Amino acid sequence: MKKNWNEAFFGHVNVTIKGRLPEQFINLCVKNGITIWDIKRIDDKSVSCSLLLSDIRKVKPVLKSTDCRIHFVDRKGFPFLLKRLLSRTGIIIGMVLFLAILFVLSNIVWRIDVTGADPKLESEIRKLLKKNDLHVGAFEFFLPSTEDIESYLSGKLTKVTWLGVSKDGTTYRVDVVQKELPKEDKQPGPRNLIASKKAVIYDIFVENGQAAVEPDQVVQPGQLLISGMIGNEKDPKFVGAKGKVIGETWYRSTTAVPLKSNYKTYTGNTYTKHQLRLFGWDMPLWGLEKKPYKTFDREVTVKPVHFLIWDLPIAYKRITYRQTEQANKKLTEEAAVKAGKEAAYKKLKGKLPDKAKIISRKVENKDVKDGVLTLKIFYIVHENIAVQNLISPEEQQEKIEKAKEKEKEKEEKSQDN
Amino acid sequence: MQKWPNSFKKWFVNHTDMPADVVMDLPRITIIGQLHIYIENHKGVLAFSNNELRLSLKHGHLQIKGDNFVLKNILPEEILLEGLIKQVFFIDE
Repeated sequence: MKKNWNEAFFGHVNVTIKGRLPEQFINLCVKNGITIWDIKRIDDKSVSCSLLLSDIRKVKPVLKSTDCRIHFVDRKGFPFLLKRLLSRTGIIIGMVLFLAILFVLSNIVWRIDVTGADPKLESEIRKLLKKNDLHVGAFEFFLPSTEDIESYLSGKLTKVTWLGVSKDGTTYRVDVVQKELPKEDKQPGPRNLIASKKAVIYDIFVENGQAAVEPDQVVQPGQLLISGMIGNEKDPKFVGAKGKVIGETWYRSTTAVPLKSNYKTYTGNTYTKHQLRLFGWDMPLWGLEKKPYKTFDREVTVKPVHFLIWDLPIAYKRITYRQTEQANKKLTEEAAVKAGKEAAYKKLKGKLPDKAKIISRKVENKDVKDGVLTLKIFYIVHENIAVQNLISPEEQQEKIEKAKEKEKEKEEKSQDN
Repeated sequence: MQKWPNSFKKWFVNHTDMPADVVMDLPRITIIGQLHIYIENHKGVLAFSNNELRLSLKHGHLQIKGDNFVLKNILPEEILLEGLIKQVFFIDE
């Protein structure tokens, strides 16, 4: 059987043509560009033939002019097949169900990848994600945005320097850069400990080496605190000096506190609008008020709907309005001083190493000008001021020898005299 | 008057290698066994039945006789007939 794709795809019909002169009909069809094939004579007045479904309309005037009648015998091809299939509810239900399941599965989290974390941290991250409802099989609709997850995770995890959460289709990726804790210095070789800043020595603990300063001594930055050279000058030995030198250091800070301040507070009232976004159009579903509050902060969350790898032009949009209030705050001078002190203390604490202790503080100067209180505070702090300084034994030895030579020369000179 | 262009065409066909059906507007008929007959350059169907097909040509008719005729394909210039082909006649008018 001759089969042409057009016939199969667009459909064709078997018909019988009845009339006095069916040949006339065939000739006219050919002339008018109607595709006709498989012509068979049935009896004196009728022939059967096949016609393309798309040509049926063109056939009607031809029938009229040749005084023939058409009778449809059989319908074949895809359009008719589709029609027959569509009349079966089972197939329709199956197809709809298939699409629905595919749609649901497209919007589910299938995988969570955590990269860059050691197993312990990884399990911790997974636990935290689970607390946030993000687990394999979760519905993407109800999940917080990646930014929210990111800030939540980085807030909870202390061991992490950087953390990124991204979404690749149905996979969530958590990229972690872990903090590498500095290893205990095992720096080999001899070294001295020198002062990092100007201070008065408060206390000194020597683990290894020779103390070069005493308590209550004033030291300048770079001054030798604990020497790595032990033994006498004739036969020096070099070690890595180790120890703690607690120095009393001083800091001055200046803080400005405005006495009047305007700030925004939330009243706790919220108004939520739900919208369906269709092809860039926002269709309100719930919440029709245009501006629910006079002053507000707006928060927009858009959840796109996926189908397989495509983003559908449908999205769910939620707009939350939080009512705000402008509040004026007037501080009394006392309160301002207190606030200023606290702020300055926090700032200083952030600058100092962890083990530093703030021993005392004193407000040196208080000044109110143009509604701004300026505080100058003086702090006394106890902190470790020792830093390592490598020494090379050869240089030290040379120095010692030079010193010796000089002394000898001096002695000789004095003898000469 | 009609004669001399025709005789010129004949002479042209005889003295060049051009195919005669193109130059002289003649039908080209291909028969495959008794199964198929393929006619190009016809001028319409005059009569068609199970055991006869009459085609009009530029000059005269073509009559094909046989059994179980089916017009497999028909286009403005060509025709494919299937069946058991027994006789082919050229009928001058």
